[in-house]
Amino acid sequence: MVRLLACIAAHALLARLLPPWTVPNLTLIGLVQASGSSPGRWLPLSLIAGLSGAMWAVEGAGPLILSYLAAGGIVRGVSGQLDTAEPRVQTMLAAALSVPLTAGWIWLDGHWSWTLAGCFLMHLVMTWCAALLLQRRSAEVSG
Amino acid sequence: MVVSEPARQTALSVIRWPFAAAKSAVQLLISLPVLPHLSQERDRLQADLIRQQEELARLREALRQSQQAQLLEAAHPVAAGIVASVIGRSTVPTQQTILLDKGRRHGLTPDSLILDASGVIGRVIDLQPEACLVLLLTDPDSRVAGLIERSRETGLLVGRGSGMCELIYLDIQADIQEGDRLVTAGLGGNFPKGLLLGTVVQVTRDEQSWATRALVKPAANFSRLEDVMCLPRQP
Repeated sequence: MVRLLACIAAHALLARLLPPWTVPNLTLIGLVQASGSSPGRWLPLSLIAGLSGAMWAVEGAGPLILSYLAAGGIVRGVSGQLDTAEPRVQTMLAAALSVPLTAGWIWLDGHWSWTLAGCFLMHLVMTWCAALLLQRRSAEVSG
Repeated sequence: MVVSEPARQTALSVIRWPFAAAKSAVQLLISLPVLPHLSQERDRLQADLIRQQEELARLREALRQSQQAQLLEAAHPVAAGIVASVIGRSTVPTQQTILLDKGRRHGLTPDSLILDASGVIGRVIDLQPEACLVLLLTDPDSRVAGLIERSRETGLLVGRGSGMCELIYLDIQADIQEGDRLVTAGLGGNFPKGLLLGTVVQVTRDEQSWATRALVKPAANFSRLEDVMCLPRQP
């Protein structure tokens, strides 16, 4: 829970400082890490992550919360097959989930352009890099 | 002269060392009783320095805010606006919104127009007593009536989510070209007319839909928003 809240706070801080599409989705990374470590608590964790994003929503707050609930649910489902407490698995899950999550948001907005595709890719790369960095940090702390 | 000049200089420089050492030893002995006080004095001076640096930083920030407010007032002299600070920004990239530290208690109304020194930023969509949420021009849900300053063509400015906007509902023969300045049309009477929205960077004429679309670069720099001016909706 603390890890998720720290990630949400860091996400909000970075969003204040950087252009929107260059900010990595730290909320998703925090959600995957927290749900991966305690799969039984995926529902409240996903709700917190969803509500933190929906706070800024103009419209479509419901789908936004649902997208985080789906992400948390997938982590819960995967935890039955893989060791989701393992930092490497968490990084792969965060990287994989960031694609449909961001694509879903763009699809909900209903606007698509090549410029937006570039922004989408930039956002994914930033999220993947942040997930890798946080994985290393987790490995250092636990190792 | 009894002693030659070079010999005197050599003798003096040799004699200087024991005298200097003796003087240092005496000074050390004299300062021994006050050494604890010196340490306390140094700590006090360091604390003073830190306090003064904090004060300086506060004054610099106050000066910057004051200069920003003056710039805003100079840019929009007729507007009786409220200056607010940006305190947060959306964490979802497709939702381009910012949070301001002023709200209903400060006289803001829903749909208040938000500007900075370079032009229009967006409008208030959610109002709280002490804060408000602003929909930026670049958000896909943003809609503002725009007017080409040079030719007086009107259209609707919509956000495109990627930092750019598009002017739609223009006739195929609309008199619009790259570099044209787009200002608020003032349609509906909610917003003042003539506030800068952005500059046309690309014009596309579509024969099939018999319409023209223009890509518009907003005047404001959305990645560097700090202090903004809010114009409450006109009654």
